Amino acid sequence: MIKRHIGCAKARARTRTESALGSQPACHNYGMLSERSLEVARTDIEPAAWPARGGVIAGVWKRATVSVAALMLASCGVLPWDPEGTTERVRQTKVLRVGIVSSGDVAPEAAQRRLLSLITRETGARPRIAAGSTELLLPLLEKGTLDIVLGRFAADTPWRERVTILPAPGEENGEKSEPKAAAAVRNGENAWVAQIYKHAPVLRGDKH
Amino acid sequence: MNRDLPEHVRRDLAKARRLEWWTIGWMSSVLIVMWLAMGSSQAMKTALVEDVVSLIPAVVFLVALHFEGRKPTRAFPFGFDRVQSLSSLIAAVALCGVGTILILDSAASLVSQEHPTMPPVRIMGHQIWQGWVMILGLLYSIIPPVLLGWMKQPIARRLQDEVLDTDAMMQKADWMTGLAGVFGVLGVGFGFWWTDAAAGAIISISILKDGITSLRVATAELVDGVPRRLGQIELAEDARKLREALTDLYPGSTVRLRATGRYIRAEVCGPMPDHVANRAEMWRGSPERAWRLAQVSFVPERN
Repeated sequence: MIKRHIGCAKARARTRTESALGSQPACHNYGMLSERSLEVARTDIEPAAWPARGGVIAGVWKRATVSVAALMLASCGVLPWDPEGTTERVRQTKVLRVGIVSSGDVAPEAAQRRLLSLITRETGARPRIAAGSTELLLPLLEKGTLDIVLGRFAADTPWRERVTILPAPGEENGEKSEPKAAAAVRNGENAWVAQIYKHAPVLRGDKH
Repeated sequence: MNRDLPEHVRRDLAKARRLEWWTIGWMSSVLIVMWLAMGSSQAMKTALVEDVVSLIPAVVFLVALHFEGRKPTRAFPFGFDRVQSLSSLIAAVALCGVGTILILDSAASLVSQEHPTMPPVRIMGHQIWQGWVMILGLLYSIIPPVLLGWMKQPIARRLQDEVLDTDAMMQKADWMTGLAGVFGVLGVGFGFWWTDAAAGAIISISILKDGITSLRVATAELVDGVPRRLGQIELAEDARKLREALTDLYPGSTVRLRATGRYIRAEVCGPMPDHVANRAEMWRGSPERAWRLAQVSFVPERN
């Protein structure tokens, strides 16, 4: 278990470099997603050795405080991880299983395409899209058969207990029962939630 | 018997009163911090209920102290010593309540395999994992109860105050829950969804155990049981020595002791004595604690 997590942390360190480099060739076109190849340098980030602070004045206490603070700062970017490993799986299989709430039409809307392109750019995964009703897609998301479901959700939807809706409902003003464009992800997959949280505002037309 | 309390007891009572006001103030600030750190999740609602319940011992202590000092009235000829016993029962029920809330909550999370979602939060333009904010809040929530509990315990022992003692246990419950919360949140961060609930469950068992002990002591007091050691089921050393002294002084009598709040009342049932001993003769325990003996009654034996 521990090993898996250490591996996960390393992968994360790697992908941070990727996304930093990968952000230069902007790719917003949905059609291009599948052809896009990942040509980024993969460099493992070695944890920098923390400089020891010797001297009489800098006592053990100070050193302990500094290292705890450093550890927390260092792990700020590392935590959280996914209990069911969604992020890791998306990166490894290079498949992003998307559900789109619609009655028949599989093609995502413009804002949804923008979100998907942002995610694909970060993970290198290709979206595999399934369309259907909310009642069909969200249980699949809950089970982990889908990674993300895009659709319109009211702020007071009963689903908000069972899946995580991003941008979080109720963050902005407006009618509670009025459905708004949002992405739903599986509960508890905190790393994945964090990643989608970052990009979810594009669904509401926010500049990214 | 003279019921004027010695100076050192008065000082301790004043200190205890101050500490309880501090408790209400600090724990309310903890409540606000936790509210800000956790948002409006279901877990937060449970934590909020728990925090409000954990203030009950401090409140009932102050209420009891307010009544305890009153002189007996025509309606209450025995005075108000037993308000303290009543308060200790309420405080004990509150402590059991906190333990029960936590146990049910953790068990429900574990059984339903609820994976706690901690999304990032945006603070000053930075996206930070909510877990870090929660950990900071939890660390803050640990400090006041550790200090308050540590300051209360010796005073509770000197004053033989069950309510204050139960309140100190409540503070122990508070800081232990906080610490368990830190490990729980870190565990969730490392991808173990069950750590938060499991840590809560382990701590809640210990809280419930303390609560049940307090409940037994408070009940013993209300049904005229022999005075107990503070926060424990065993009989008090003070009471044992007093009983020995009274049996020696009045041979052939039956000696019965009971606790009314922090005081001890004795009943000597037997032939009427020619000479009534003074407090110093009866009290063989530490003279510092002689004030606990509030009354000795002599009851003629029925022929």
